[in-house]
Amino acid sequence: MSTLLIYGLCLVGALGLHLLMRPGDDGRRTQGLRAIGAVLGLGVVAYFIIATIDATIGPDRSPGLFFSLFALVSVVSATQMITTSRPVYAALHFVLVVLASAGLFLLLEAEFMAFALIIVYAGAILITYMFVLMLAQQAPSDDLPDAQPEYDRFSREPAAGAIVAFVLLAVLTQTIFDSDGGAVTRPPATDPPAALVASWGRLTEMPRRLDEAVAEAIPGATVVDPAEGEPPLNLLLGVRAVLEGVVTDDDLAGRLAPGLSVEGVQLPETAGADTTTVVMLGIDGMASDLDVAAIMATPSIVEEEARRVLAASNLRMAEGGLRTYVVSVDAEVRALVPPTPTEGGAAAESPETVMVRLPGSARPDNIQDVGLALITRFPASLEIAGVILLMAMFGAVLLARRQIEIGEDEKRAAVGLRPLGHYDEGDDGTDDAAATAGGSA
Amino acid sequence: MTSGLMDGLMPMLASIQPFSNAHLAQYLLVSGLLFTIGLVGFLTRRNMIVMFLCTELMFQAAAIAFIAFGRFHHDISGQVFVIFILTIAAAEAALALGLVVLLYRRNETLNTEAWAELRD
Repeated sequence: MSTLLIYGLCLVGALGLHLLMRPGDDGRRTQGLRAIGAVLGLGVVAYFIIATIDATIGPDRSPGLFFSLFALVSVVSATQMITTSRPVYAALHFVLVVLASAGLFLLLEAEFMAFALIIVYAGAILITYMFVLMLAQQAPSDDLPDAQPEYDRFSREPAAGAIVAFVLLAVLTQTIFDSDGGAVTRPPATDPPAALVASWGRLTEMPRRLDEAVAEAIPGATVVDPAEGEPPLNLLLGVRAVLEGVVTDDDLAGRLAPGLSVEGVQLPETAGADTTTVVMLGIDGMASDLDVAAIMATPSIVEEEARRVLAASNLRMAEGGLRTYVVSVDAEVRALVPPTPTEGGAAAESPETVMVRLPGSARPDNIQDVGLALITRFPASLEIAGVILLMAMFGAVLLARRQIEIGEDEKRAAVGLRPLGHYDEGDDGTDDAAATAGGSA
Repeated sequence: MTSGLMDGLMPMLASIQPFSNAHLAQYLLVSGLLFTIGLVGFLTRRNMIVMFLCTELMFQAAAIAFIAFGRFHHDISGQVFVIFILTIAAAEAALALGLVVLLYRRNETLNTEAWAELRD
């Protein structure tokens, strides 16, 4: 989209917002102007969204029914929130904006944040706002008890507000649309393999959960707790640890035997006394250019490395060779990425390789991802958030204490200001009667 | 360009799917619109509580932008920061409403122009 078109659209949108904010009673003429403003605003929003579609997701796909619904509800409710004359209605419209945002979060696969938003925002913060609104209610005058106070009915400088809207909207949309006509594009990052692989990759950071999932998948295996004094060596990650040099071959020696209980997964007795068993995790058919270390590679590559390491170690390699449990993830990944026939097929056909498939339920869901990230990567921000809440609690307690002003009214009268208490519209703070009285005293 | 859009509109409408194919640009548009509306509301309203509601609206817009970016870069940090934003918003709302109640007790009005003498 050309720059001129962007600015023109932002101008039309700002004009629509200005028409919606026009002061005045609810006469029919003003209703018509508000309707025109609403149509202009909605038209601009729709045009912007459609203009991004061509460049980003292709002309024959739509952003989806739910996205359109939630986006529309949030923008319309936000506009109604700032133009309504009743503050309670503004709070209720804000609840609607929060619900629409929660819907957008669900579409972005952030389920925990969606529910946290509803609980904290709509549940706690908005209810607090409602209570304060109930405490601070007032009728403007005695003859019109149902009308809102004048400061609620009219906007303050709507023209300046419209100009600010135009400037900000123009700047923000400039970053989305670049000047040679297309929206800022990148390959559609919603492609499922990348998202799923990133999600499965986090499973390797949760060793206990990985153990349980693998134990369920391998018939006859059970999960065991670490023995006293044993260094934490998860069997599944044992090979990786050796590859990374964390654990030496001597540590690993003596642990890879069927029936032996090690931390993590105890393999079934029927694995065969004359084979050395290695359990590895792989995703069939995926290329090994992921940054999730050797575990998330094609099985044949990991098996190669494992053979090399074990050959260099003190382990006695049995006659039957290496028995490999290749644990792969749910079929949804396999269906989306065609498996490379050589690597995947060879690994599957080897008699020493047993394919074990983890079900989709073993994939860590959003809550576990967020919890893992908070504890492992962002512990400081968790602590800081707690401290901030504590400070807010102290502040609220302090604010709620009653304060006694001594002689405030006399001091204000001496300077010429009216005493605190009642405020009328058009009051500029000076008190002529007290000024003359104070001047003469 | 308009005819091109209309040509593309019919197949698009015919292919509406329930769940989202929306790209990052659409989420950022929604976030930008909400932020603008919140800012304009903050500047044009004179009721103290509605002004604070508009700041909460700007927080919402920022949260949508964070989570959209986090999703499209497969980074969980976006959602972690939104937890932080939620915490800050809750703390700020508590303190701000306490202040509003105190100010209301002093002047018996929610009009911010009652405190215009602070300008001098």
